[in-house]
Amino acid sequence: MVKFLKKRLAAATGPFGELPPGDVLEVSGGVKPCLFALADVLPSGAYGETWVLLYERELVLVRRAAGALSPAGRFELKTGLSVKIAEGAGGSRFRVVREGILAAELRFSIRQAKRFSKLLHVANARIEGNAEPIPQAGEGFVDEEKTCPKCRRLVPEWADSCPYCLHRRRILMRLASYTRRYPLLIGAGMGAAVAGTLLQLVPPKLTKVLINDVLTPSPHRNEGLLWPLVIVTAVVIVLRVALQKVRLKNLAVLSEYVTHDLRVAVFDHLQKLSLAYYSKKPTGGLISRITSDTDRLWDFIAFGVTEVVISLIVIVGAATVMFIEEPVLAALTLIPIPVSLVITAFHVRAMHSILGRLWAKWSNMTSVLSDVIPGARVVKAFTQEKRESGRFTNRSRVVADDAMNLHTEWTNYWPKLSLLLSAGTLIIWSYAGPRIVGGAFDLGSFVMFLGYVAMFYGPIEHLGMMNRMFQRATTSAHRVFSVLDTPPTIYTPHKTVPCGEFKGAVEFDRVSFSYDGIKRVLQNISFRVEPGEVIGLAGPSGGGKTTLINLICRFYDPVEGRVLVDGVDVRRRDLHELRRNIGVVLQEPYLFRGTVTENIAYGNPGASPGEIIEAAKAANAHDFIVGFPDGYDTMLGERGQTVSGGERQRLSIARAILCNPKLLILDEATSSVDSKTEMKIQEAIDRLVKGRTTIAIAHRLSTLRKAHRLMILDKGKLVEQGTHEELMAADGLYAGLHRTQSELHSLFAV
Amino acid sequence: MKDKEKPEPPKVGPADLSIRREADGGLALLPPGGGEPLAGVRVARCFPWTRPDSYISVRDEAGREISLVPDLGELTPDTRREIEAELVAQEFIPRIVAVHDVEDRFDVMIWNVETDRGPVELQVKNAEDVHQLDDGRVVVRDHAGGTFVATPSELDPRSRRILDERCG
Repeated sequence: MVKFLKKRLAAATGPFGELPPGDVLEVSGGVKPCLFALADVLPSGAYGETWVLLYERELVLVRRAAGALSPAGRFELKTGLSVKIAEGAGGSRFRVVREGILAAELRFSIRQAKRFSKLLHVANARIEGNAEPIPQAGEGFVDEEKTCPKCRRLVPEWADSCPYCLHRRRILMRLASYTRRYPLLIGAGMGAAVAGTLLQLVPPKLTKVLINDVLTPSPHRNEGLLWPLVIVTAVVIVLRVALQKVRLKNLAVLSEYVTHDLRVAVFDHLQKLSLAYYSKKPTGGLISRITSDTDRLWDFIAFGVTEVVISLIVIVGAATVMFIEEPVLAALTLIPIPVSLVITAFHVRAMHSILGRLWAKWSNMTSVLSDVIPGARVVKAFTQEKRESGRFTNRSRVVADDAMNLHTEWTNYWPKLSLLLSAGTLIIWSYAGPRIVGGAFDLGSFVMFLGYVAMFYGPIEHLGMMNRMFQRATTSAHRVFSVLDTPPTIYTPHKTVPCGEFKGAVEFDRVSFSYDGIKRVLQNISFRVEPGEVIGLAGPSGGGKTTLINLICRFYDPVEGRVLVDGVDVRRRDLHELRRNIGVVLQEPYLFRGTVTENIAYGNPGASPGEIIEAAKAANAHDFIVGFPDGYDTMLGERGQTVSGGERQRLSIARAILCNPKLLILDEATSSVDSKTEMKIQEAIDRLVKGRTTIAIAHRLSTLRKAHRLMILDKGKLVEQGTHEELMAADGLYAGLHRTQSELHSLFAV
Repeated sequence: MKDKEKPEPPKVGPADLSIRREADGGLALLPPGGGEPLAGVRVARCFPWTRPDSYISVRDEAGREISLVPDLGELTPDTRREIEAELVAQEFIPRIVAVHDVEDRFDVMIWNVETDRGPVELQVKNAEDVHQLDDGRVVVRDHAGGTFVATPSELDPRSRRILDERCG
C-alpha cells in the first residue's frame, strides 16, 4: 500500500506529458485544456495535488484529496480577474484575484514553475482579450526538461531519448556500424585474437604429451618425440606472439580510424548547429564529447571488446579441454570460477562508488588551489595565509582518509581472488595426488590442469569489469550520437531566392522574439534601414539591442514577423552568402590562436599581404602591429602576445574591413579606454563605416551624434526614433540617458 | 525614469513597522505617518542558512528596502505574525527524514526520499548537487532547482550511510 502510494505520488509530482491525468480531465469537463499546471503543495506545506487547467475562456481548479477528485474553483477569464505568482525560495504561490479579493491561492514547488509561468502569461493575455498564441516547444524555445515517455524520468541534457530505456544493444550496433568501413582491419584483428587465444590453449596439452610419453620412464616411452615437441611448442609460441601483434596493431588502428571518423562527424555537425544549441549546452560538455567520449570509445573498441571475447574463449576453451580429458576433475576445478566472478563484480561496483566519492572530495580539495593561487594577492593583503593552509590541510586529510577505503577495498579483493583460484590448484592436488600415487592418474594431465587453472586470473578480472565497461561505452556512444542526431534549426532552405548584388537594406517587419518561449525580448518591431545608412542603437541594458543584431545575422530566427535584407526574408536566402556580406565587430572581439595575419584574414583567408596591411592601416592597427617584435607574424591568443583592449578592437575592425561587407554590425565596447586610443578607434570606425549600411550598438556620444538615425530600444520595444537633435528635443528616454552620460564625462574631465 | 514614477519607499525602523495582509493576498505597509498603504511588500531572510530568524529584510515591490529587522522580537505582535507567516508560506524547502535508496542511471541519480512534506523522488544531475554545509547539514539540489535538506545526525543509520556515500 505504502509502495503503491509512493509510486502514485512520484508520478503526480514528477514531470508529465501533454495532458493532465484522464480523471482530472473528466472532473474539469472532459475538454482538453490549452495549458495546465500542477500545484503540488498544499496550504499546509505538505505535498498534494491541485490541477490548474486553462481553457479559452476560463480557469478551472481540480483538487485531489484522499484519492478523490473535486472541483476547487472555476473562474471566467474577463476584466476584473487577475492571476499572479508570488515567488519564494524553492516554491511559489499562484494567486487568483477577483475584483481585488483573493479568490484562490495555490502553492507549488519549483519543479512546476515553468508550467505556471507559461500559464500565467497566457491567462493574463486572455483576460486582456488578446488571443495570445500558446508557446510551443521547439525552435528557439528552452522548454521544460525532456522526460522519457516510458519511465517518466528526466532525460539527461545531452541525450535525445532516455538512455535508460533505449536498448543498449542498438547503440552498440550503431557504433559497430562505424567499424564496417574497415572490414580488413576488423577481420584481421578479430581473427588474430581468436586464433591467438586458441593457440594459447595448446602448450599445456603439449606439456602433457611431453611428460606422459617422453619424460616418464615406461615401456611405451617415445624419446624420438622430444625434439619435435620442442619445435612445435616453439612454433606455437612464436605464432602466438605474432598473432598478438597483428591483433593489437589492427584493432588499435581500427579504433583510431573509427574515433577519428566520430570526432570529425561530431565537430562538423556542431558547426552546423545554431547558436541556440550552444547556449543551451555548456561548452565544457560539448568539448568533452569530442575529446573524452571518443577517447573512451577508442579504448572500448581497441581493447575492451576483444578482451571480453578473449576472456570468454580462454575460460570456455580451457574448460572444454579439461572436460574432454578428465570430466570429474574439470567439474571440481571449475567450482571457484563462478564465485570469483561474483566477487569481482561486487568489487568493481564498490570501487566505482568509492572512486566517485573520492573524486568529489578530491575536487573539493583542488578547489582551494584554484581559489587561492589566482587570489594570492588578496590572501597576502588580508594576511589569511594560515587560514588557507588550514583549509587545504583539512580537505587534503579528508581525501587521505577516504582513500583508505579505496585501499582497503582492493587489498581485500586480491587476496580473496588469489585464495579462490589457489583453491583450484589445491583441488587438483588433492584429487590427483593420491590417484597419481596409486597409478590411477597420469602426471601429464596433472601438470596440464595446473597450466589451465593459471590461465583463469586475467579473464575473470576482465569479465567482472565487463558490465561497467559496456555501460560506460554505451553512455559515451549515446552522448556522441545525440549530437549527431540534433537537427540544425537554422539552415539554408532548399530553394533560395537569388539576390543579385548585395546592397545592404535591412527591414524588420513586425518582429517578435523570445529565447525561452515565455518572455518576449523583442516585441512587434518594425523599421527600415536604407543602404548606406548609419543607425545607432541605444537604450538601457536588457532592452533587446544584441538580440536585434542576432536576428539580422540570423543567429536566431524570429518567433513572429520577418527580417528582410534587400527585400528578401533572411530565412529564404543562402545562409553563407548572407553572413559573408555582413561584417561583425563585437564588443569583446574574439581573437583566435594564430598570427596577427591569420586573425585579420579570418573571414578572407585568401587576402594578399598588401591587402592585409591596407586593412590594418585603415583600422589604425598597422603601427602597433609593426611595433611587435614579430610584426604581422606575432602569435596571438593563449600564451601569445598580450594585446590591450584597444588593440583588440582595432584588430577586429581590420578583420571586418578586409571582408569588405556591405552591411556592418558594430557592437561598441562599453569599457573605457584612454582618450588617445579612443580617438584612434573612432577614426578607424569612421573609415570602416564609410559607404556601408551600419547598425551600431553605440555607447559613445560621438558615434551616436554621427549616426544618421538613432533607434532607442527599451524592454523589447522600439520606443524612440530620429536624429540626435530630434530626440534631444523630444526629451524622452534618449535625452535622459544622454544627460547621465554627459555628467559622467564631465566628472572624468575634472 | 521609471524610478521617478515610483517614489522611494519610506525607511521604517522595526519598532514602527506595521504590516498587514491585504484582501488580494499580498502584504502591505501602513506608513508610520499615516497615508495610503503601500502594497506589494516582500520579506526575505538575509541569512537563510546560517541564521534564518535574524536579519529579515522588508522590501517594496521593486526590491528597495523598507526595513531591516535584526530580530523578530523587535516587531509589534501583529506585524511579527504576518511576517513569520509570510516567511513560512513563501518557502518550500523540504527536510529529508529518510533516504530509501539512490539509483544511478547514466548521468542522473534518482533519490527516493521521505521528507517532512511527504515522500518524493528527486532527480539529481551532478555529484556536486549534493553538498555538506559547515554545520553538517546536507543540501540536495534536484534538476529543477528544488532544495532539500537533511541533518545526518537525525537520520536512521541506513539513510545516514547512503547520504555519506553520496556526499562529497
